[in-house]
Amino acid sequence: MSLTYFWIFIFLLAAGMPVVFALLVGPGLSLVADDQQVFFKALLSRLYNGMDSFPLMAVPFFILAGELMNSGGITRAIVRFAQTMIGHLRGGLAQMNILSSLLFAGLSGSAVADTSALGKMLIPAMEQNGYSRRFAAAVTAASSVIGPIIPPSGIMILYAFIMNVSVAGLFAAGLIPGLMVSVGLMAMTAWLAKRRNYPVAARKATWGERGTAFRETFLALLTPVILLGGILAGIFTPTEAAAVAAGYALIVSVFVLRSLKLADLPAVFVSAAVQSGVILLLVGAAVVFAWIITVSGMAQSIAGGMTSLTDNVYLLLFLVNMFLFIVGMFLDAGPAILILGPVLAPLFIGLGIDPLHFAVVMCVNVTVGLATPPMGLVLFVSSAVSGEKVERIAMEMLPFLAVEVAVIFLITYFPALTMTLPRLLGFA
Amino acid sequence: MTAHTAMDRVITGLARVNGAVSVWARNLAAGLLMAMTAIVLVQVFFRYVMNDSLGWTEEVAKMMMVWSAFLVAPWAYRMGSNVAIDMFAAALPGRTRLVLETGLTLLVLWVVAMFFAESLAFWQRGLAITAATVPVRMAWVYTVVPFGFAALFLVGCELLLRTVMTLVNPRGDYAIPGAGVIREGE
Repeated sequence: MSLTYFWIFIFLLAAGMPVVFALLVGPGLSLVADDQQVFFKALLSRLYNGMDSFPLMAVPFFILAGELMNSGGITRAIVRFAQTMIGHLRGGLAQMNILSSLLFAGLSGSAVADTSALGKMLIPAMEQNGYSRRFAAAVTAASSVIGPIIPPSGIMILYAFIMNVSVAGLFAAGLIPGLMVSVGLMAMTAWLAKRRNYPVAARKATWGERGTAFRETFLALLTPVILLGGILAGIFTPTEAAAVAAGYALIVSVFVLRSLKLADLPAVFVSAAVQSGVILLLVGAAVVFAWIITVSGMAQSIAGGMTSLTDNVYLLLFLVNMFLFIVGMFLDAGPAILILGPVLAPLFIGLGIDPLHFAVVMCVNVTVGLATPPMGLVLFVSSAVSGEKVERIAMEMLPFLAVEVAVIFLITYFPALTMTLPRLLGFA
Repeated sequence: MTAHTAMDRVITGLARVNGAVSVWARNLAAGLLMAMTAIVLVQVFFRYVMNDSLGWTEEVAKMMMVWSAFLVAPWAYRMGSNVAIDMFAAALPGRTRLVLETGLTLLVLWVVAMFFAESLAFWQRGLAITAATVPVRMAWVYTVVPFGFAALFLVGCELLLRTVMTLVNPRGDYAIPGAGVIREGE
C-alpha cells in the first residue's frame, strides 16, 4: 500500500476535519485510489474490535470518577487543605493552586478537569488578592498538566492500550516525573513571587486547623491510595480499580459529603458518557490507522528515515522530543498518543530504550503540549474560566513551560527517574 | 415558495430528527455507562467478597461500552465536540473557509456511507455468531454499528446543508445553538 493515506490524513487534519474522521477518510481514500475497497471490511472490524476491550474500559470509569469528584465539593475540600498547609507562604495562593493540582491529580486523570475545577475557584480568589488575572490563569493551566502525569492517567491508559504495555507499570513510572513537575513549578513560583512581591494570603494555619482540613479531605485523599495501592499490589485490574474509584466517588459525594444531589447525577453521567464516547471512537479509528501504518510499512520507513539522520540514540531522543513538542502545539494529547505511539515507540524500543521509559517520556511530552499555544485545550479552558486572552496566558506561562521542558529532558536522559519505581515493584 | 425557504424547511426537518435522535442516543449512552459501572462493581464484589468469579460481566460491560461510543457519536458530531485542529481553517477568509468545510463534510459523508454499507454485512455475519458468555446473537449487539453510521450520515447532511446555506445566504444564521462551545469538564 502506498503512503498517500498519510499525506491525505495530514492535509485533512490541518484543514480542520475532526481527527476521528480524518483517521478513517485518509486510509479510506487511499484504499479507493489503490482499488482495494475490499479492505473496508477489515477497517470496520478493526474499528469495532479496537473499542471492544476490557482494559480500555478504565477510560470511561476514570472520566466518570473525575466528573463525580469535580461536581462533588471534593475540589473545595482539597483547596482548603492546601491552603492550611502552604497558604501563608509568599505567593501562597499560587502555591496552593499547584499543590491542589497535585492532590487532584491523584483523583482524576485529566488536565482539563483540573483546570476547570480549580480555575473556577482559585483564579477569582487570586485576582482579589492582588495577582494579575493572566498570572492566575497561567499557574492554573501550567499546574493542571500534573493531572495526567501523576496516576491515574487517561493518557497513560490509552498508551498502554495501543502499545500493549502494563498500565500499572506506566502508572508507577509516572509518579516521580509528576512530583518533579510539581516541585519545579513551586520553585519557579517561589522565585517569581519574591521577584514580583506577590502577597501573603493568610496567616499560618495552626496544626489544629490543618487537622480539621485534613479530616474533611481524608475520604477524597484516600482515593489514590485505594486506586494505586490496589493496582500496584495486583489486587485490582486498572479497570476494576477505576470502577471502584467511580463508585467510591459517588458514595462520598452523594451520601457522605452530601455535596452532590441524586438529581444532579444524570447530568454527571451524560457529561462523562460524552467525553468517554468521543475518546473511545477515536481509539477505534486510531486502531484502524495503526493497522494501516503497519501494513503500509510506514513505521519502518520513518524509523529508517530517522536512523539515516543519525544513529546516536541520545540525539534521536532529542529530535523526537522536539518533534513531539511541536506536535503537542497543534494536537491533543490523546490523539497524539494514539497516532504516533505505534509509529515512534518501535523505533526506540529497537534502539534499546525500555518500553516504559519511552512511554513516560512520550506521555509527559504530549501532556505538556496540552498547555502550549496555539492549540492547547488547557489554555482554552483556562481562558474560558478566567476571561483572559489565550495569548496573554501563554506569554505568562513561559517560565512554567521552561520548567516542564526541563523535566522532559531530565526524564529522557536519566531513565532512573522513571524506571526505579517500576523496577522496584517488578514491572520492568 | 423560494428555493431558500424550501431549503430552510429541509434543514429544520433534519434538525428536528437529528436533535431528537442524538439527544436520545446520548442519554441512552449515559444510562449504559451507569449500568457498566454497576456491572463491573458487581464483578469486583463477587470476585473478592464472594470468592466466585462471574463469567458474563466483562463481555456484557464491553458490549455496553461499544454501544455507548456509537451512541454518543452523532451528538458529538452535531455539537462539534470532536477533537479537531481548526486554527488554520479559522484563519481563512469566510467564503474560502465555508467552501473548505463543505468539501470536508462531503468527505465525511462519503466515508460514513462506506462504513454504513459495510456495517450491514457486519450485522449479517453477526447472525451466525452467539456471544461467548450470554445467549445473545452478536447481530443484536452489532445493531448499534449501522445505527451509529446512519445517524452520523443524517447529521452530516444537516451540517452540509447549513454550511451551503451560509455560503448562499451569508446573512442567515445557520449555526446549531450551543454547538462548538468548550463545555466545562470536557
